[in-house]
Amino acid sequence: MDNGESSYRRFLNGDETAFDEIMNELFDKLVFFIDRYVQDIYAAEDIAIDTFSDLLVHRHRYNFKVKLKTYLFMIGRSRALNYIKRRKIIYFTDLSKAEEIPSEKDEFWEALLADERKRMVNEAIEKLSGDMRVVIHLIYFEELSYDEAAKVMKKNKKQIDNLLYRAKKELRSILGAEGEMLL
Amino acid sequence: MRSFEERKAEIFRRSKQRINQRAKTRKRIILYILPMIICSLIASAFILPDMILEDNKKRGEEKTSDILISKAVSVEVKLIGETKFFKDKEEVERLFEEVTSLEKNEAVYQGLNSELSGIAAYQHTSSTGQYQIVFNLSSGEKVTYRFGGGILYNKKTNSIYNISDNEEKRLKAIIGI
Repeated sequence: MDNGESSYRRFLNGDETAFDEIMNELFDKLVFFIDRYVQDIYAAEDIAIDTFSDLLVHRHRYNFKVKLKTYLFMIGRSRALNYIKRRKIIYFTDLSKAEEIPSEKDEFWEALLADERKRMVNEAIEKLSGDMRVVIHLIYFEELSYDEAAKVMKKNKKQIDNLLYRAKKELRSILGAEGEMLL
Repeated sequence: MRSFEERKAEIFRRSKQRINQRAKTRKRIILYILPMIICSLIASAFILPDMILEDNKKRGEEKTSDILISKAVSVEVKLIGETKFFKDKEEVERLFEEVTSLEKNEAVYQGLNSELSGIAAYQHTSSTGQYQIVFNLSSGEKVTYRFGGGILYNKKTNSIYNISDNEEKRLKAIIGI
């Protein structure tokens, strides 16, 4: 699997099953990434659905110059930021929080983060501020290159480097001595 | 959270909805906005030239009214081979009023700015305009008219007016020729 490009090519050529492959490969990752911004797993899922529907509406907008994953993350980020802007006007209350029922988010993450090390870092990431949270997610969880992360976050390589340096520093202070080994 | 099938169905439902919405918007543009653009183009093609002509006419009138604001203090009337100079206040005013009142007549050319129109005006006046009247205004400005052969030419506004024989005779009588 090449992050969805060949599947997308097949989908454009009329192979409907290729879309399932793309969804299997990238949907959960996209939800996970969007959740870093919106901090609401249900909203993140909704935004991810919109992002995938973008792929169907504007079929030929993706030009294969970047990875399909990077392209989807770029759209997802832009949609997530729009959502945050809108949320500032209309205040939403997460029903699971309001009624204190256990969130499905934890289950979702557990399924996604099989690695114990990643799970521990994930908990610490939640305490980081906006962009730091996202950059750590893209580099450590999605294993994107600095260039790809820069494209998704609409920053340059140097900015990503600085952001990552500060994020790591903060993570170390959150995780303590134990964290030194994790990072 | 939704299952895989639910997510897929939702993605296809939303994309279909958005494609339909786009088609509707495109249809709306073709149905309403395109005819509006065509109408405005047609309207501008027919109405704008008239408006520009009217605007030019108004500008011509404004220039004439500018002249009327400052009063003439003396007149030089140049005939073939001689120049008459008027300094008497009453005579100057009478001549000035007479000449400017003739500008209300039907214009042959008015407010002409283009080189071609200027040449046409020159040809029109050089053959027939035997008399040249130069008003020295209180503002220090000079306004030159030429008349004869049934026309009056205002050099400042570059406009030509038709004048009748009687009007020409009256003008000549005031000048004393």
